[in-house]
Amino acid sequence: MNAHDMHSLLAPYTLHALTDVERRRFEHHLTECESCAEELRGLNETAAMLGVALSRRPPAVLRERVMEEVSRTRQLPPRVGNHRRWRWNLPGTPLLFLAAAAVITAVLFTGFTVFSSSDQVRHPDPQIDAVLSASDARDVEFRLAGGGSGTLVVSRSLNKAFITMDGLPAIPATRAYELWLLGPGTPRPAGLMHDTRGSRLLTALDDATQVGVTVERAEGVSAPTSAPIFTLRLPG
Amino acid sequence: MSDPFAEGARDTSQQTEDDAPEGLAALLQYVACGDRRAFELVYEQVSGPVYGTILRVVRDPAQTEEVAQETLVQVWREASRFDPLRGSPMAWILTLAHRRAVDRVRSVQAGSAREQRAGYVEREHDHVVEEVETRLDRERVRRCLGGLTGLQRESLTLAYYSGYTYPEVAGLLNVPLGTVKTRMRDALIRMRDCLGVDR
Repeated sequence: MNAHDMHSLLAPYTLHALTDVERRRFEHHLTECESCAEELRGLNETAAMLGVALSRRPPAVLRERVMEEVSRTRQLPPRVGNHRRWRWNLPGTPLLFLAAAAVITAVLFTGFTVFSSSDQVRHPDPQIDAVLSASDARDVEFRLAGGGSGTLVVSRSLNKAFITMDGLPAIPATRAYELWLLGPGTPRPAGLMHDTRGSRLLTALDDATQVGVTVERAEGVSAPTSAPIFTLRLPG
Repeated sequence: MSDPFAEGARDTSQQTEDDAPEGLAALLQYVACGDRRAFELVYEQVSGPVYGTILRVVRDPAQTEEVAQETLVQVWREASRFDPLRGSPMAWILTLAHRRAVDRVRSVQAGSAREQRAGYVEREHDHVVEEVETRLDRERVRRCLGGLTGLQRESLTLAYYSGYTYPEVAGLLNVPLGTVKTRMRDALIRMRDCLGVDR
């Protein structure tokens, strides 16, 4: 995706209307786009006005609960070096430096959140960013007959893939979704998901040709005990 | 800096900067230092917008309370991370609230259930305009929403008020992805200019 395409994601990003994969790509882009940050500020303020207009008095019990939780919640210390990190983003940045930039994204993000990423579940992961921005990254969007959808992004050059799934059927707490890499050999376990949504980085794809998902016991198993609820072909 | 919370501080003629409209930013600085009274004052100012925004997206009051509680506790926990150079405190706080609300509806609703809501598209706009009632802010937002084209307004409200992703909005409105992205941007920029948002 080029810079122009990226810029077109600014408004959906402000409205929290990006898919998980695009949000990650866009946040990665933000670390390199000073003009985006500028425009984002105005759009964020505008979106906030939409929210202010919806103002409604919450039930009194909310206040009690919040104050009670606050009384036993530790606060985060101020960030060290909480400043712009544009300084290094000079014109003519050598390629090697850009590659290094991808690796240290996590560090940079501590100084740059534009409000949306402070959620602990949203910490950017440089390994994931690398897959999403790989030159040979291939996106596979999928929709499941039994409910749910997602995106699989595969980079054969990195030998990794990133999968995000949303709206899967609910499963009991004693069970988990288990991911598998399927190929010529025996299925290889590739991670667990205990929720109806989530994402996983899949490493060491090697000769795998498909990703499959089965429902297993919560702690996972070393070999699948049932047929996959779905499989996806790994391109490349 | 004088202590704005000292007894009788507000009765003296020496009004501090903390009494000015930008008080929320100043209060957050106190909150970041663990001042719970300051947090109570922040709560007074932001709980209505936070609750209302989440309720609009999530719809269910019980879940709205949960998400509002998470958001407000996050404001307490992360007050030190608020940076006034990046925007207003209200924008920071409502971004947290909206993000969490959207996360909640996306995790709760399976794809099929979300699609069933598509039948309500026609009514989304009316609904929003009804909820945007009499107060000044509401009037302004309503007036500005009314100045958008139909497609701009639907792209904006389906995303912000209903929590749909832009590909979902494109599907619901039966228009190409690129069109939806453009309309969302046009809509936000028009709203920004109409509302006179400080950039």
